[in-house]
Amino acid sequence: MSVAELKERHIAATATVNSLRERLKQRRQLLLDTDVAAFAKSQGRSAISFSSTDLICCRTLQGHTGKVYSLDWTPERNRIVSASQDGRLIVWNALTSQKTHAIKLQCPWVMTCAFAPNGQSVACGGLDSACSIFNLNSQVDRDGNIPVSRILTGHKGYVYSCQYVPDQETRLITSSGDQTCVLWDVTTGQRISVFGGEFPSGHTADVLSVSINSSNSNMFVSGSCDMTARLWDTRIASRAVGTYHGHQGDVNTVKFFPDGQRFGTGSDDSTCRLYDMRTGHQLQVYSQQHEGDDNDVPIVTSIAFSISGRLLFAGYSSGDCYVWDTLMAEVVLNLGTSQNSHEARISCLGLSSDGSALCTGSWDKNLKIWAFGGHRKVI
Amino acid sequence: MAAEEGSGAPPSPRPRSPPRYPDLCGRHRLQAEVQLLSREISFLEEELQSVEGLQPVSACCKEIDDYVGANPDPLIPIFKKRNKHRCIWRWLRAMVCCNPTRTCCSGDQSCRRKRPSCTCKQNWSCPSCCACTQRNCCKVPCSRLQCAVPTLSCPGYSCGCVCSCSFGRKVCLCPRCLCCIS
Repeated sequence: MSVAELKERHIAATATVNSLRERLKQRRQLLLDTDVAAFAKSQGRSAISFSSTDLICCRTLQGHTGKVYSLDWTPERNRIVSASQDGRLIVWNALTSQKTHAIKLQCPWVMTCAFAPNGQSVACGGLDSACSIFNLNSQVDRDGNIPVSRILTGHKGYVYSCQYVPDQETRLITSSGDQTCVLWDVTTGQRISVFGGEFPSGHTADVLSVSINSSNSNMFVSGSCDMTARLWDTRIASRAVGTYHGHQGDVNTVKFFPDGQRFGTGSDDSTCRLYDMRTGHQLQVYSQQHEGDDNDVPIVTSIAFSISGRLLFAGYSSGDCYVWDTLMAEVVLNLGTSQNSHEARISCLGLSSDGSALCTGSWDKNLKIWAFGGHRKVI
Repeated sequence: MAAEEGSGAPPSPRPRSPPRYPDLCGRHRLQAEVQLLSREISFLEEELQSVEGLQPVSACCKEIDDYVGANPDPLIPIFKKRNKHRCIWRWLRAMVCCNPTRTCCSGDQSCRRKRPSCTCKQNWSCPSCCACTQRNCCKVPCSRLQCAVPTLSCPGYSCGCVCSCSFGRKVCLCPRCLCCIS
């Protein structure tokens, strides 16, 4: 086939794709009979009422000498691992604020960290395009550092996000600037599956975040600079199960809703959105009017749902940390204006496994833990 | 130069334009893109078919509403009481709050006013409502100590009390202020 013919085919195929996308959008529009907030209001619900002292900062974890980029809770024992621009991982005891481990990294440009399900290992990744695994029980070397126990190499771009598969110490998923996600066997260091990349239906830009479904660990969702979130089945690497459109900017963060049937996203377009995994519907947009010009619109850097799903915590580049009432789509609290709040961008946040505390990490070099300090009305 | 022309010598070499090779890279790239677009078309057609049988958004909203309403949340001011297990915290609170005047704060404004200056040593009226940042509230000597596994939901945790443990996994819990002490 000649180049001219190929060009004609390309133009025709592009037109077909655009037409199909438009038809799909219109069909979905017909099913958008309401959203979460309108439905909740129709059921007579009202927004959660917080006083300024209900969620308080009860711990400030100080020790990093650079911006905090990432954090993760361990499923038990109440420990947190954090990664920072200072090139270190620190493991904290959230109850006592003490540092239990400080790991100096060979590559200081770390962007993500994660705790293994058993709490015995931590993983991190960054601009070295690799994911390093450290066993916290290892003997330290001559310099007092914990040696790396495994390096997962294979990505062709930076590693931006990583998460262990729940209840599987040996499986880890990473997302990368090479537009792929990879499922790894940590024991052998081998790639089990590559999601995206040369296969179509993968992301077409850097992948910034992953979230694994705790109700069904075969499913995970990824967020990308291509403004979409995609759902993957780890057993089928050849194509994404679903692609979720709507955002107008990079999707920086994704997190499954506690019921495992929905997931939330946060984006450079300053909104969070809630999608239904099975139907692909966009169920709600969480958007706040911001003062100032359009160039100062804060981006959403990180999100987490409370254990019931009623609260959506969203960290922003402005230093705000909005607590959204998920059902009413209203901001019920701003931890960014609370006493002892962070003084710079919130870069990461996460909820403890029992849902009783939220940890936020910031470019002000600190982590803070927030817990309920108010009155609880029992009904 | 004049001598060369006069003698009939071959003309001096001149650089030639590079041969015109076919644009294989562009052709291959186009072919790959057309294949990708074809696959994308089939995915979109599949998705169009699947949309036909989908439930509307309202059905999803109801599922979310039902789910959220059914689960307690430790970070929300109002939650439904769990009847499954007796929580050690409620047992301890019951021990402390046996006197109605000393019951745990339940919205009493006078209790709220006392909170900023948490004095667990003397103030019995807000045993579980301490929002202070004074760690010394946890060092009150107590006659009755109860051992409990420290957790983030420990009422004293949000108070800023440090639950440092020197008894293995458990800490000694002062039932007076419900703060963890070392």
